[in-house]
Amino acid sequence: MIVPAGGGAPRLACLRFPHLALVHVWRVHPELRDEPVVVSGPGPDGREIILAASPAALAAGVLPGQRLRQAETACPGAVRLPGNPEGVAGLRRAALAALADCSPWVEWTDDATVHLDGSGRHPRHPDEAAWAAACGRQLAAALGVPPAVGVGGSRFTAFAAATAAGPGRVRRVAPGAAAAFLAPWPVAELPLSEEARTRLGAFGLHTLGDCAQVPAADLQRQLGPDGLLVHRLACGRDDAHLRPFREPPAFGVRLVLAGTVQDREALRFTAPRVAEAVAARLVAAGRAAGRLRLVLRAEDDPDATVEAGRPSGGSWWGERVPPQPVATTAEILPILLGLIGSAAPVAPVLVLELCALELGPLPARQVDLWHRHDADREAITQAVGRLHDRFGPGLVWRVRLREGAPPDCPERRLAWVPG
Amino acid sequence: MAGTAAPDPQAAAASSRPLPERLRRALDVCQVRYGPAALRAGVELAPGAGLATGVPALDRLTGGLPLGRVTLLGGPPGAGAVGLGLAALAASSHEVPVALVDFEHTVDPADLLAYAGTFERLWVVRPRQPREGWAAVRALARAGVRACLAVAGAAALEPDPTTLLPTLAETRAVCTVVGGRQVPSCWRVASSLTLAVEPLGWWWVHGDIAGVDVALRVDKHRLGPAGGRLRLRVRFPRPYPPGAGVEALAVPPGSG
Repeated sequence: MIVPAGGGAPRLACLRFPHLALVHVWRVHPELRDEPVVVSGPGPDGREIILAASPAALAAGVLPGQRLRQAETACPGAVRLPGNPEGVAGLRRAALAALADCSPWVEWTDDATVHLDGSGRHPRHPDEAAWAAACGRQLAAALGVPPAVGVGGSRFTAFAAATAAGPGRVRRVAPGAAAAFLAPWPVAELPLSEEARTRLGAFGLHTLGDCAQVPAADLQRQLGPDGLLVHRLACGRDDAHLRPFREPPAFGVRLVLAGTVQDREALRFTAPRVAEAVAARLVAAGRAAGRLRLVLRAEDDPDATVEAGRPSGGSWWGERVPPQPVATTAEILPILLGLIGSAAPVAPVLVLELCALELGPLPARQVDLWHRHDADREAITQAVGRLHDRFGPGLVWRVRLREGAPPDCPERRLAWVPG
Repeated sequence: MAGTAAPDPQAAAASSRPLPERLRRALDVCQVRYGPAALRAGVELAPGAGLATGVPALDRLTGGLPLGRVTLLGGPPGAGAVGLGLAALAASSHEVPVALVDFEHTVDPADLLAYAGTFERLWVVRPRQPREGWAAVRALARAGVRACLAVAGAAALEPDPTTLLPTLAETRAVCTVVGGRQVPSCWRVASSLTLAVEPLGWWWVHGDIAGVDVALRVDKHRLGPAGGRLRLRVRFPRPYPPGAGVEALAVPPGSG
C-alpha cells in the first residue's frame, strides 16, 4: 500500500453551492439574482420537474424535484426558465479545472456538491484552514458564487460542516470532534429510508447524539443495516467512498507501466520519459508550471472508488513547488525524481501521472551571459536538491565567511548554508 | 579549460627527434592492426593537458591532474597530503566549480581561503555514509563540478571505485582522493595518477610548526612517465606571513 502524502488522519472537504443550472441562469440574467427563480428540466420519467430554485423560491416552498405545477402553486410569482445543459456542462468543466488545482482527488457528487480529499500536506498552504479557504476561493472564482466549505474526517461530517457553514464560509471539524459536532444533527435529515426515520423517532431518538448513546448492536437489531449506518454516522465514522473525477488535466501525462512496479528505482527509470512529455506540452504551449503533482496509482481502473481520505487504497500523490516556474525537461526531471524519492511505495504501482499546475508564461533567463559556469551553478543546485531528496538534508553545504566573527574563534567564522 | 598545466619543454624537444626507420614501421603496423591507441611512443604521452595544481613544479612533473580520471594522493598523517590537495582545489576554485568531499569531517573549509581559493564555486559535502559521498561526487560531476577533493579514510574507500570512473571519464572531471597510507588495491588500480608523499621534516617559523617539507614521488602515471620525484614545502595556514601555500624546494645534487 502506498501511504498518502504526509500521512496523518484522512480529511475530506465538502463544497456546497447553488445548483449549476441556477448559477447559469444568474450569469445570463444577473438581474434575477434576488428574485424567486425556478429552473426546470426533464425528470427521470421525461416530465418537466424543478431542477433548481433560488433562495427566494425555496423560502416560498418550492423544492427541487417537484412537478412544475406544484412549484407554480407554491410560488406563483417565480420566474420559470428552462435549464441549459450545455451551459451547465461548461460551468462543471470550469469548476473541476479550478478544483483540480487544490487536490488530485475531486468527486463531482452532483451539480450542487463536490467533495475533495485533503489528506496529507499541501505545499502551497501552511495548514488545512488555508487549504480549505483556497478551495472556496478557487470555486468562487470559477462559478461566481461563494460556496460553503466544510472539512471533516469523513464524508458525512464534511457535508454537515458545509451545511452548517453557510455560503462563503469555512467550517472545520477537528479530528476526534466529529461526534460532538454531529450530536445535534436531526435524524430526519439522515440519508435513511422513511421507515427507518419513523422508527428512530418512535424510539425517541431524534438526533445523532441520541443515537450515539445506543449500542450499535441494538440499533442493528431494530433497523438492520440502517442501524449500523446511523451508529457510524453518529460517531463520525462513515465509510462512504469518493468517486474521483479522472479526466487528466490539460498539461498532465499519464503513463501506464508495462507491469506493476514496486521499486522506486524502476519508477526513476521511467521519469525521463514522463518529464519529456510534460515539457514538450508546456514548451509547445509557451507555458511554465509553478507546481508539479505526481500521482502513483496502484491500478488503472477509472471507476475504482477511493476510500474517504485514503486515496484509492494504494495510491500516492505528492506535489512540489519549484523556486521558479519550470518548463524544460532539465528543470522538470529533478523535481520528478525528488517526488519519486519521497514516495513510499508499499503497493505495486501501475500508473504514473505527472501534472503541471499553476501555469504561467515561460520565464526568460540568460545564464552564462556574464559569468562563466553560471549554468553549471544552476545544474549543481538542482543536483544538490536531488541528493538531499535521496539522502536527506545536511549532505551538501555552501560555506561563507561570517562577517564580524571573532578571528580567534574558528568554529564561528564560517556560516554553513544547506546546498 | 582554464587552468591547464603548461607542456614540458623537455618532452617537446624529445618529440622532435626522428624515430629509427624500422621502429617507426613497426609502430605503424601495430597501430594499423590494433588501433592508434595500441602502441604509442613515450613522448606522445607527454603530459600537458591536466588541471593545474597551482604548483608549477608539480605540473611540469605530472602534466597536472589528469582530466576525467582519479588521482590518488597518499602518505602518512602529517605528510601534507591534505594541504597539497587543498592547494590544488584552491587553484581550481577561481575558474571552475569545485567540491570538497570531507568523509571524516576533519577538514576546515576555511583553509581553502588560506590557500588563496574562493568559496564562490565551492560545494562542501559531508556524508554520513561513504556511499552518500561517492554518490555526491558522481552527481556533482554530472552537474558541472570539475574538480573534487575527497578526503577519505580507509573505511570511506570501501566501495568499488569502478562506478565512479565512467562518470569522471564522461564529464572530464578531476577527482583527487587523499586516502592516507592504507589505500585499498582497487583504488590503486583505478587511479591514473598516484602520488606518494613522505614527510622530511617540519618547517619552523617563530618557534611554531608552520609547514612540512615533503618528498613527493610519482608512483603511477597512465598518461606520462612515472617515477618522477620532487621536494615540496607545504605551508600550513598560519596567521602570520607567508601564509599557506605549496612551493618546490631545490633538490640537493645527487639526492635523486
